[in-house]
Amino acid sequence: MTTTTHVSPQSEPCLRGHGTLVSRDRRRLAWPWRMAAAITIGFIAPPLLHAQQADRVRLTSGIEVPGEIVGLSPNGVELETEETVRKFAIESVKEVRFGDEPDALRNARGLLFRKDGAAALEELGKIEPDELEGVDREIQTELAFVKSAATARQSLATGEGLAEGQKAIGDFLTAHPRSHHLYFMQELLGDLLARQGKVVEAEAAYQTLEKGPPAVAVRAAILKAALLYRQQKYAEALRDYETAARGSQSLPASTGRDEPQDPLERGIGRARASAGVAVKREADLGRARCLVRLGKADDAITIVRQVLGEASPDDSDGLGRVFNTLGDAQRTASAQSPSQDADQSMAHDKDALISFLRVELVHNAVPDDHAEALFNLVELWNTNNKPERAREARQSLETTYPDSPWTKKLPPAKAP
Amino acid sequence: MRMRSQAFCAAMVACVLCSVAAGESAVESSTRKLLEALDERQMPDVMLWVIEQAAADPDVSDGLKRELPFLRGTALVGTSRTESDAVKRAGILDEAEKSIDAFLAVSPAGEQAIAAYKQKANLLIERGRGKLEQAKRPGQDATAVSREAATFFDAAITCLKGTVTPDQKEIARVTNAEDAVIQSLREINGQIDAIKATAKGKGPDGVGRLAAAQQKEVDRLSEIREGIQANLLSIRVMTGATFFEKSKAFPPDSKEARAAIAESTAMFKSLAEKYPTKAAGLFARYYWGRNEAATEKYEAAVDTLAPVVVLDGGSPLAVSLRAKAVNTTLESWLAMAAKEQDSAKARAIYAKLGDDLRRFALTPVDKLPGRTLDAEWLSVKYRAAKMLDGLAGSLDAKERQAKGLLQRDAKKLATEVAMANRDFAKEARELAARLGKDLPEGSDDKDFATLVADARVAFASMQEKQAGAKTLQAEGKAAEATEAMKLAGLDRDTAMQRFEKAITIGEAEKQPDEAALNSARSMLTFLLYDAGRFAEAAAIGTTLAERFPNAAGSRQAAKVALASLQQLALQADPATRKDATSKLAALASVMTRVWTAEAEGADAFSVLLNLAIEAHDGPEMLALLARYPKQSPRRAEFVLRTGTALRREVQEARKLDPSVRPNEATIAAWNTAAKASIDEGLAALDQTSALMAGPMAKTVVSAALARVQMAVEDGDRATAGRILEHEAFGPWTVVRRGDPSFAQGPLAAGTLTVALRHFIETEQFDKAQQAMDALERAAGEGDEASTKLTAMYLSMGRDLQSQLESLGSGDKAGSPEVRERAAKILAGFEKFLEGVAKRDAKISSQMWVATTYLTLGSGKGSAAVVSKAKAEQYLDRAAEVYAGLLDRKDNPQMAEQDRADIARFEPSIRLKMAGILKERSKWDAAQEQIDWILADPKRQNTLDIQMQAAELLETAGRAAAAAGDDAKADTLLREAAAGRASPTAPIWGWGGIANRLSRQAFSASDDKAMEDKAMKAREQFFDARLRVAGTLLERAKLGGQTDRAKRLDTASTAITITRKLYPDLGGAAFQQRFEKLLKEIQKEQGTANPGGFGQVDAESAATARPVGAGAP
Repeated sequence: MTTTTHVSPQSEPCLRGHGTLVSRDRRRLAWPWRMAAAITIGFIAPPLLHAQQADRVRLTSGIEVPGEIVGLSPNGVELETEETVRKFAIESVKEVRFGDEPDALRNARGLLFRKDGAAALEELGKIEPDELEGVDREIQTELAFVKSAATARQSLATGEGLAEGQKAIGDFLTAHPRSHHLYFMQELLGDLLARQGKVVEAEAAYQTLEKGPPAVAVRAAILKAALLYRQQKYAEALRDYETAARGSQSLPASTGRDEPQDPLERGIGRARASAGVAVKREADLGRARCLVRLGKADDAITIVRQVLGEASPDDSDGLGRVFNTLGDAQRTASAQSPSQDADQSMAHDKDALISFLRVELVHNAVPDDHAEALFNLVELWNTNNKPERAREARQSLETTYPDSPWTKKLPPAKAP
Repeated sequence: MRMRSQAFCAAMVACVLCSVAAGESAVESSTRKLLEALDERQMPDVMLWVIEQAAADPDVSDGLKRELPFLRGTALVGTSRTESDAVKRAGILDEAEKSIDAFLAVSPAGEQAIAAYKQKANLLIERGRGKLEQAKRPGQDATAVSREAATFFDAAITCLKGTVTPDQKEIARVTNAEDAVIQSLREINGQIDAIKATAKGKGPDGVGRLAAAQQKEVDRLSEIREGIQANLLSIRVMTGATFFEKSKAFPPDSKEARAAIAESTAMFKSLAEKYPTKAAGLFARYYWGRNEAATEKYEAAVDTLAPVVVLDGGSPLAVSLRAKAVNTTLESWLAMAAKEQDSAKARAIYAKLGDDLRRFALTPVDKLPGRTLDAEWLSVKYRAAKMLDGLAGSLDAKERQAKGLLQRDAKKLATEVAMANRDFAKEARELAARLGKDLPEGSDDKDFATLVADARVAFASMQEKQAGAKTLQAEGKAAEATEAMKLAGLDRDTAMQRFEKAITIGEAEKQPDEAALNSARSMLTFLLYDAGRFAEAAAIGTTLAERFPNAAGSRQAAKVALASLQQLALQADPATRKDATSKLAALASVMTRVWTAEAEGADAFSVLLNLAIEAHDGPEMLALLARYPKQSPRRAEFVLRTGTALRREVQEARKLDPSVRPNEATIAAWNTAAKASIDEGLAALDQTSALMAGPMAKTVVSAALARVQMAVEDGDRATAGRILEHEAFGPWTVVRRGDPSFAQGPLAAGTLTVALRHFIETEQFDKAQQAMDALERAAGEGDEASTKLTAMYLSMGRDLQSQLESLGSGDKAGSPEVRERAAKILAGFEKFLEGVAKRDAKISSQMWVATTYLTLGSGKGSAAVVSKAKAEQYLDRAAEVYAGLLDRKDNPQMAEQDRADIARFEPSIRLKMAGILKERSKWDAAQEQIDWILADPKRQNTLDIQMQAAELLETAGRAAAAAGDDAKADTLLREAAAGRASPTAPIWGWGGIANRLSRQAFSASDDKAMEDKAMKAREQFFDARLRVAGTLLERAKLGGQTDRAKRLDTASTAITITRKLYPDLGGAAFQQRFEKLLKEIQKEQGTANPGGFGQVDAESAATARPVGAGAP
């Protein structure tokens, strides 16, 4: 939103793109000079552009495209740039940033995407009332989105207030049924229901995603598989993950060859491909987790290694989850080593420790993944005769994530 | 740590620069970041795992793999810092050096190589410093150790100092940090020149003009060049500092020390003069001045340091450098003033402390870079106070005001230092007091660090006194040694008190310094042990092992705790013993888990093995064997000990009553494990040609002996012979070598008896004869010698018998091959025994022949391999030899001594003959022998004889019953139970035996030997009671008697009364035997389905029930 004046409540909405309502009186800035430096790949735009308060679409490939949001729908985002109106499929959009949104809202959304609901809510609390005076309805909607999603995410993290979280999501979806956050919120709703043991309702919530674009539909299959996994139906979950993994193969993929010269086009292409890569990775990690539980830890390790081979070094957040899955498989492999082969067991244990340490020390931005790694480290350090480090990991888990289910899973500490 | 991190960071920066260009994978990128984070978190051990994992990962690029040896070297240096064992630490640093060298061999130049050379130099310097510290310790050869230090410093200098001269165009081979830097500089200069050479046109200054991109590249390269130049200077400063360190390895005024300092000073001087404004130049200047002060060139030092003393700059580094320079300057001035005789000149020196420096010294703590008074600042403040005091002292009364101001500042500074209670605290307190401020002794409010420092001083003093006491003791000055030890004890108590107080204070701190606390705890553990406060030592040591196993000092503390608990386990109080044993097992388990393959783990495994041996816990021994690490250097010792212990368990188990004995499969598994263990241990030592010294030698020979015994039992003559005569540890070899620790005692007896058996079986009769002779020698001389010898022969006979029994009871019992094997063994023995009987008339030899025949003939379990006829033949032959011996007693042609010896042995010979005659059913003849023995009142109270007498009567009675002579049977059986009241040869009978045993059998004692005796007496008691009832039953069954029912009742009552008095009836095995006999009695009484004890209990309950109680 590149407005320099506040939107009045009486502003007349106009219909653009796929029927998404966007405020009309959004003003454009002078484009010629702006477009010259419009495309910024992988780093923050020059300060001058910040000053201009352009809307931005951040794609999953890391590219940021400035312009004016002219259409938002569950399946995509429309952005008017100097040359044209670009349509971005929802699965290739990582984040939509509104030019005039308060910084705290932007930060809160970032925290929310990192699954840190509590921090996101705290960040929202920093928004001064005058920052919201006269802002666009999209920003109001965005605020409602972050608030309800963060509430839900917090309740998921702590296991408390699940019904409130469910209500918050429900309220948002009722008020904004065509939001571009629809699939995200449906997934969150499904997660909340699943957490409450409402399997059928959760499945129904995930089913909404099936109506989305192909990558989103595959994600629905992954979520359903995860639901089976949660019910400890590992063989069935594995079957569904495998189906999802097969489904993901038909999604667009980047070969790295014949890519367009134009950085923007290349970035958009990569974003589309990365959506496919992401769901494939989720499916593969799901398969690996199922195989671990089915006693085939070595097969799981092979799968995760393949995932790692295809992963981008820039995707630190995603790598946290990958290394946790690898660590889990390695721990299980250690436990499954023949009793007489202590060396093999010890080697697997060390590998697991290294995997979880990668999450603890390097890929630690996603709280849930970080907490999971810390929990495993507490146990592994103890079994590896490093009680001091186990205590440190415990302290870190307890102080950083006091409400995490991983913290609650810890056995009581021994009295000194 | 700082230095290490800097080195690692330099390495990582260089790595990252390479990696960015390489476009590395997610795993590689993650690995680099992880290594960086681990270095930051001081986890070098985990860094080593990560490096190892990366090295084995096929997906890791060759580029990263090339860097791994350097990263490994850096991580190893990190791990060495937590290793308290100096030898191990040196080993780790050696490995680190090799690792860095391996990296440099393939990457001798470039950014990373420079970092690697510096890292290598650092580790060599550290090793040199370590040696200097070692040289200061008592008992060290200071000169030799200092020379080793000098070697390390020289190596560090070689690693740093360049060999390339400025005019040398080509650098053929880079072998040090400085040359590596110069090569990098030349390369980068070349690149810059190459770009400049392409410049088109010329600017107004005549210099070629570069395109914007080219200029940008030149700027970038220039920036890199600047960094490399800074690196070059830091390497040169480091080289100069290493020369200074080297000087400490020689006596202060020696030629070598002077040369090293001169070299160091020259380097610093050159740097300081060439780069006066750069950081490296300023540092060089400080070191230059420091060198001059160290060589007492105080004036020169002051002049040199002057530019640094006035250094203006608020950065922590600048302030810190200035403080160093000021400190050395103050030190120099004070030294100059102290030497100065002329008071005016002295005053002039004191007056050099101008206002600026005075203000600097008075800088409040919260304005200091680290917000703490470190040693440097304490020194600055104290020395400044001394200067001010000196100046005040030189002023006369007229200058009272100035004097007062000087004294005020001096007092302020001295108070500050005194209150900090660390370096110069005592001197500062005295100075402050002199200036009118009495400060209390700081002992009550000392902080953790000060108390620990004080405690360490007391500890060092204690060690010194203990060493002195040892020397005095060695010199024979016992009284003085005792006095010295007493004083050492006082120091120990002081050290303990201070450590205890320090720990209390340290633990209460908001952020306790766990590393320092654990170090103090470890020291305290040792002191508590030394003071005999074992329970406290054990508690602290155990806590360290459990909660802080990776802290420095925890290993030693754990070992001390182990030793403390072992002491407590020896205490008299049973509760203390039990508690300590349980804690000992728990701590040892922790130690085996934590330090599995290390010396502490080996000690703990040894403790656990001892506990398992003591508890006769075969399964635990097997479990320990499985857990013991294969790579442990002490594995051979452990497997040999465990194998030997398991072998003992097998032997003990086989002696047990079948009802309580572990099942055959278990025993077989123990036996197999015992063999495998000993074989493994001996194989590890197979190539040794000489037996090691110390306690390990006994362990090895004992294990070898056990293995020979097992091989002989198995008929595995090849193994038996190979081990028996092994040139290093063969028991036969060792015993014959004449070492007193092996030539006598149970080990020698066991060796010689098994050797005798082996040589007989393999028909090596010469060696067999040598073994017999050696046995006699091993038995020694004197009255007990023959008893010992007999015992040894008996032992061998029993082993032989046991082997025959085992052959007769195994899976292949009765098979032709077993019979053939047994026949061979017997043939060998017969041949040898007959040979001995004929050629060797010595009493001991004849006794051995008789004893062995007796054993071979009386083996009940060997019937399958020794026919009845053969057994009888052996018994008869034994009786013949015994009789022959007895005949010699009255033979006047025999030597007096021999006759006397035979007379001495006569009772035991007759007892054995009684046994043989009993076996051969010659009852009367056997009885004659018993009567002869019992005719001597001294022998009438011998339990063994009385038991044999009762046994004979019972057996003869049963034989008479079987032969139909009821009257004779009745008499004999009655006497067997009730005894024979003969005035010449009274026999107690089983009843009398039981009565006499009852007190001993049921007496309680804490003494293990007494308890063992009581246990044996209990077994004999219940056996006797059983026999009483058994003979009564037998008598009831005899024909021609009228009181059958009464006899049966009496037999039943004998059992029920025994049960009433001793409900457990001596354990499960005896209970079964008693009940079986009771059922037989009940059957004879007419009960169709006898119910044993149940029936008795039911009958008893019915009798006890009140009248009418059974009515509905």
